[in-house]
Amino acid sequence: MGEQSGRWLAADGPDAGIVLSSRVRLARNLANMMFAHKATSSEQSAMIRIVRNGVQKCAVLGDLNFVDFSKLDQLEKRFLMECYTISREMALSDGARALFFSSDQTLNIMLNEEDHLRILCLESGFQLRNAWQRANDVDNQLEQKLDYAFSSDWGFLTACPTNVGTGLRATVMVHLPALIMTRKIASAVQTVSTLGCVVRGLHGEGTDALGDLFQVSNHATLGHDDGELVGNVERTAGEIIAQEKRARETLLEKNRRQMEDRLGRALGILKGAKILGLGESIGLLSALRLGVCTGLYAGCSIPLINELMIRVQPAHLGMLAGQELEPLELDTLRADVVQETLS
Amino acid sequence: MLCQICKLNEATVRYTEIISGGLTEIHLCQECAQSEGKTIGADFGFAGLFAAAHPEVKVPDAAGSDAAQECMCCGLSFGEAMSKGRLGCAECYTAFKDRLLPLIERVHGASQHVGKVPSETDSSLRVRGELLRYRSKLRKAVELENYEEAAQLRDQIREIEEGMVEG
Repeated sequence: MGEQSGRWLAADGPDAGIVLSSRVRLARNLANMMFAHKATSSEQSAMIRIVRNGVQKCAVLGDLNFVDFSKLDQLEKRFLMECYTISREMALSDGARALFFSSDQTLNIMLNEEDHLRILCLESGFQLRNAWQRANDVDNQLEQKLDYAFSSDWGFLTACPTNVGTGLRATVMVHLPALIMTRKIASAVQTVSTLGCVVRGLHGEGTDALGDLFQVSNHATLGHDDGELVGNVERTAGEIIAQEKRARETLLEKNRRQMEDRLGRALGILKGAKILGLGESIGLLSALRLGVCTGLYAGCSIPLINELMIRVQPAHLGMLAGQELEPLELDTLRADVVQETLS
Repeated sequence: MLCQICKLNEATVRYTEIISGGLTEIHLCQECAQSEGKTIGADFGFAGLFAAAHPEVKVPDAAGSDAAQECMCCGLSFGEAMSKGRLGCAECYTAFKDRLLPLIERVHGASQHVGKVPSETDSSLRVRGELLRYRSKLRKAVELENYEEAAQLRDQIREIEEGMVEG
């Protein structure tokens, strides 16, 4: 997995200038077994054996790679987490865990995360429906071989009641720097008919934003059918994307000089700094991404920036160096990686 | 302003969450943002930012006999389940049904599954699932005044119900 970056970073999906990725996750548990965290380690291992057997019997899943987490060290697990392939929970906790993943990283099946199985499909750009169809197909294949914990009242039974029912979480990851710069993020999202979706994001105070990345996902998983949940996220994300597009156009029209300045400064630091912190680099890459997407800069491509955003993370740098690094070593290597990539 | 998660460092990052028109903002320090931020690409459960943003979702400490009640199958007590934010096995849903119901209603705004059903499921359960799905769609169509769609759904429901009687 270290050699090839995830295909979902390729920025070849629709609206790739604003949407980083679309993903659908299905949570499933096997019937007649304790949920992962309550199971003994031999039960956990048994669960993995059963699912492995099941996956091997599905022709459609034949190409998946398998990783037994007991064979991974801390650095490797954090690396997977940084690839958005596994959750933080899975990276940092103990117990028998495993992962199936496709070579292009668009399909992942996590075993013994919070639930026995988590099927995750990632697509580049705004392709939520495709991600859903694929996850659904995988689920249909697997349910022929495995016995899922299911009740007609509550649906698919999950360890956490926030996932019960469809067990489906659809998420679109969007880049909203223009809405943040124009301080319109709250009002833009609040006027959008959120249709039961939740919009979450992290951004820095002032102009030094922390990536300006937001997630639009469904809040409820019970009481609606799968297609409806996916449709709601699609519609909500679509409206937010439109808002961001309008905000970008307005900025170009009225604040072009400021945009160019922001881009110029970001490029200057990215290309010239010898020591680069994680938060700072993400913020600068966000500014660069906006510059490229609005046509102000043609010196690099969106897929390259997407990739850089992943590669500047600590475990990625550690894997590159072949060992865990101290903070200053990380910041130094990061600056080198960024400079080399952007030259 | 101090970070609302660790309450130690100065907050320089804002976490924004918007749901049903309501806005929640949590102020974090760089460290907490980076450790929680990695979950931005993953799911939120009871832990971390979700809990901070939704204190109301956690059931207030179940008192006495409520907390002590155990699931026959895995031995997890209800109190333990609520503090961990997780159930121990499928049976817990039955064992703690009465206490879970209000929590599930609050999170999902519903308490009946109308989505996908495993194909292995007993055919009568599948039909029942289908009926629930159609009835839910009918309710929504009427709410939105899509009377044409509602009429179609009503016909489909009638067909399924007649099929059940004959079959």
